[in-house]
Amino acid sequence: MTVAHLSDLHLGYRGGAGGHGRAEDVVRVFEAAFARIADLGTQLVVIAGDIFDHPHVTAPPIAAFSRAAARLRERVPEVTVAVAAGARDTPLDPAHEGPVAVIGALAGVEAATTAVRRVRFAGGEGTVTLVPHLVARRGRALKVKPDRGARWNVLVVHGAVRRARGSGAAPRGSAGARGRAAAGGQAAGVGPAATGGGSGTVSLKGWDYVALGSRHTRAKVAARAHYSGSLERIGPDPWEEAAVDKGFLTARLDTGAVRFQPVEARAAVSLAAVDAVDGGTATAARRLSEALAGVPGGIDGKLLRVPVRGLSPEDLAALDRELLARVRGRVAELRVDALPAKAR
Amino acid sequence: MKLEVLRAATPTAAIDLRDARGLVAFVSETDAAWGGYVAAIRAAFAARGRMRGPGSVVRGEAAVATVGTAAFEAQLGKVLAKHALRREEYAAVWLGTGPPRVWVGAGVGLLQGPAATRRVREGAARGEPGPGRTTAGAGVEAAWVGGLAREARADVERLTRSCEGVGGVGGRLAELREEAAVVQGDADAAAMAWVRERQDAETRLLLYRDRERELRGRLEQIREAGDAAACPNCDRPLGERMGAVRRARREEWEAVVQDGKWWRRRRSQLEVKPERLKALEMRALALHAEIRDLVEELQRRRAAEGELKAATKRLERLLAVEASRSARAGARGGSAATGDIEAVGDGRPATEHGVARGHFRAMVHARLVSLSGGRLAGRFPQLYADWVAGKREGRDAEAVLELAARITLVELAAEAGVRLGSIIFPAGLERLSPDDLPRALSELVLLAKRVPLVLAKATPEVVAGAPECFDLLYRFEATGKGSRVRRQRLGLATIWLQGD
Repeated sequence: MTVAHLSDLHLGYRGGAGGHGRAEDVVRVFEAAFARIADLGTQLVVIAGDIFDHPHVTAPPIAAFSRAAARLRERVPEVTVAVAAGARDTPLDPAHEGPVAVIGALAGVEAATTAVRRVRFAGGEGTVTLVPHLVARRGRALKVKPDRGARWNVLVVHGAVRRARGSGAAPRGSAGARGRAAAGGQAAGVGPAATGGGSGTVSLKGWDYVALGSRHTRAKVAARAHYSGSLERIGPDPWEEAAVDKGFLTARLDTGAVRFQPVEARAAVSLAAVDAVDGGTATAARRLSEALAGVPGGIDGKLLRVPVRGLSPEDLAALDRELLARVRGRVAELRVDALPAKAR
Repeated sequence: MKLEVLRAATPTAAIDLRDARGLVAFVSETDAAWGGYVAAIRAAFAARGRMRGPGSVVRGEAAVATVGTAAFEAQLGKVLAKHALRREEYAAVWLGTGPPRVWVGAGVGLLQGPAATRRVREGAARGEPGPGRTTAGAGVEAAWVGGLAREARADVERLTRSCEGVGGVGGRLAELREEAAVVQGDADAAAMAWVRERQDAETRLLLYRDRERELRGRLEQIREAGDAAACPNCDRPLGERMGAVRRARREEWEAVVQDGKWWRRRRSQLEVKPERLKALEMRALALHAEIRDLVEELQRRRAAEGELKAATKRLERLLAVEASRSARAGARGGSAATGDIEAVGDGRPATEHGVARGHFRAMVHARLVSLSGGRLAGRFPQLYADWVAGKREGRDAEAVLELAARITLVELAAEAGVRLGSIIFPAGLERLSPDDLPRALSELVLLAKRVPLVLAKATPEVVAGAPECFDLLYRFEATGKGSRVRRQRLGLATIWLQGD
C-alpha cells in the first residue's frame, strides 16, 4: 500500500511579479503532481494543508483542484484524496469552513476543516486521520490515536513539528514561538508566529506514516514522519529554496520506504552581489550584464535575484531604467537588493 | 515602554495587552473602532502630563503608568534625555505619528548619537553655525564626518574597555556561585547536624527524667513498705534482701541523675548555634551579597555590550560614508565630493545634518528596494522627495515608503538602545500591493523579534492571507449595543512528536 503525500500547494497564489505567471506556476506543478500520481496508480493521496494560498480564493483555484481531482479519479477510480485544512485555508471567522470544505464535497475527496476526521481507504483496510490547523492549534486539547481496527494508519497534520525528548509531554509554554526556528522552511516562507499557535503532543506509536505540512522544504522528522515541502518556490524569498528540488513524497506503508517524486518548479537564480563602489551606473551595468550572461541556461523565465552593492539611490534608479527594466521583462520574478558599500 | 492596556476615549472595551507578544493584528470592519484607540493614545501623549481619568497604560523601566500622566512623563523624560530625542520624535518611533520631517529628524538624531545631537542643538540654540555651516564645501563636510567618526571610535574604545571585564566578572561569578553552593551545602549540613543533636539531647534528657522519676518512686515505695516491700521481678516480699535491693536501686538512681545532669548541660550547650555553623552562615550570606553585586555588575557590563554594538555600527556607517566619499572624490577628481549631501534630494541646502540625512535616506532606500523587491528602485528619488515635502497621493508606493522609513526608524532606535517595549503601525498594510505585502509581513515578523510587541492595523484579508506571520488577533465586532473586541490566537500549531 502506497500513499502520496503533498502539502502547501498554495493554489490561488497572489505573490510575486504582480501575480502574473506565478499563480499559473502553482497550478501547473499541482497538475503535474496529480498526473504523476495517476501514472503511479497510488490509491491514497494526502494533502497536509495550505491547499489554497488564502481562504478567500475565487473560483479558478477551486476549479483547478476540481479538474485535477476528476482527472485523477478517471485514471485511478478507487483513489481517495484526503485533505486537512492548513492555516492558509482557514478563515479567521470560525463560523466559516473555507474553501477546503468546498473541495471536500467533490467525489473521492475527503476533507477536514474544523474537526479531526477519520477516513477509511483501501476498502476499509486502512484509516487516514486528518488533523486540520484549527484543531492542531488547540494545543493540549489535541488528542489523536491510531485506529486499532485498521491495518494501516496514516496521520495528516498541519503544523510546526518538533521532536519531544523522552516520554514527557511538551514543555510548558512551548507554543509556536519556540517552534519558529524548528519549523525551518516556513509557511509561505515567512515562518510561523512567535507565540500564537497552541502546542500539542502526538505519539508516533501505531502510525504507519505521518504526513506533515506547513514547511516549504521537504524534511524527515522521524522514521515515518515527513514534511513533503511545497510543490513550487513561493513566498517572499523563493531564492532560499533555489538549491532544493521541489515535488512530493510517496511512502510504502508496509516497509516505510519513502521516495521523492520531483516536479519541474520554476528555477531560481541568486547572483553574487554586483559591487559598484568604484564606479557609477555604467560600471554596475557592465558588471551586471556580465553576470547575467554567465547564468547557465540564461535568465529567461527564471526567478532572479540581483544584489547590488554601493550604488546611490540615484545610480540605482538609473540602472533600473537602463538595464533592470529590460531584465524584469525577461524573468518570471526579479528581486533587487540595495546593499551598502563595504567599509575599507 | 510596553503597552499593557489600550483604551479608547469612547466607552469601548479596553484591550488587555499584558501577555501579548510578537506581531499582533487589529482587525476592524470599520476604521472608527481602531481609530478611537489610536486617537486616544495620541491625545494622551500630547497631554504632556495633564491627562486625567483612565487611559492606555504602559510598563516602563521603573513602573506602570497611564499615558499622559505625570508618572508617564517622568519615565518618558528620562528616555528622551538619555537619547536626545524630542517628544514628537519619540512619538514618531513609538506611534508612527508626525510629519516626515520629524521622522527624518528622529532618524538623523539616532544615527548621530545623543552627544552629537545635543551639541548641534545647543549650537543652534546659541545661534552658532553648525559644523557644516561654517564653510560650504567638501573639506568641511569631510572634516565633520571625520569628527563624528572619531567620536564614535572613542565611544567604541570606551565601551570596549567597559565590556572587557565581562569574561572576568562572569568567571568570578561562576567561581563565587560554586563556592557559595559548597558553603551553603556545608551550612545546611551543619544546621541539620546541630538540630539533630539538640533533638537527641532533648530526647535523652526526657528519657533520663522519666527513668529518674520511676527509680525515685520505687525507692520511695521500698522505704515506705520496709521488709514487706514486694520484689519487682517475682512479687515476693524482699525480707532481708531489702537493704541490698535498696542500695542497688539507690546507686542506679544516682547514676541516672548524673547522666541526666550531663544531658541537661548538653541540651543547654546546644541551645546556642555552634560557632562553625554561625561562621558558615555568615560566609554564605557574604557570598550571596557578593554574587548579587557581581550580577548587577555583569548586567551593567552587558548593557554596555549593547551600547558597544550600536556604537560599532555607527562607526561602521561613518567609515562607510568616509570610504564612499573618498571613492567618489577619487573617481570624479574630487569635484563631486559633496555628492552625499546633494543626494539628500529634498531640495534643502546642505546642513550640518547633511551626511546623517543622506545616510538615513540611503537606509530607507535600501529598505524600500527590499520591500518592493526592486520594483520601486527607479522611482525612489522622486518618491522620497515628495514624501519629505509632505506631498501625499495615497498610492501603494507611498505606503511602502512609509513602512520602509518606519521600520528603519524603529531599528535605529533599537540599535541605539532605546527600549521600545511596543510599537504601533496605525495603518498602511492594507494599502500595500499583493506583491509587497508578504515581504512587508516578513519584515514585521523580524521586527517583532527586536521589539516585544508590534501592533499593526490590518484587514481580515491581510491576516487571513498570512496567519502564520501573526501571533495574536484582536477583532472589533459590531454588536447591537456597540462593539466588542475578540481575541484570537494565530500562528501555526506546534506538534511535539513522541516516540521513534
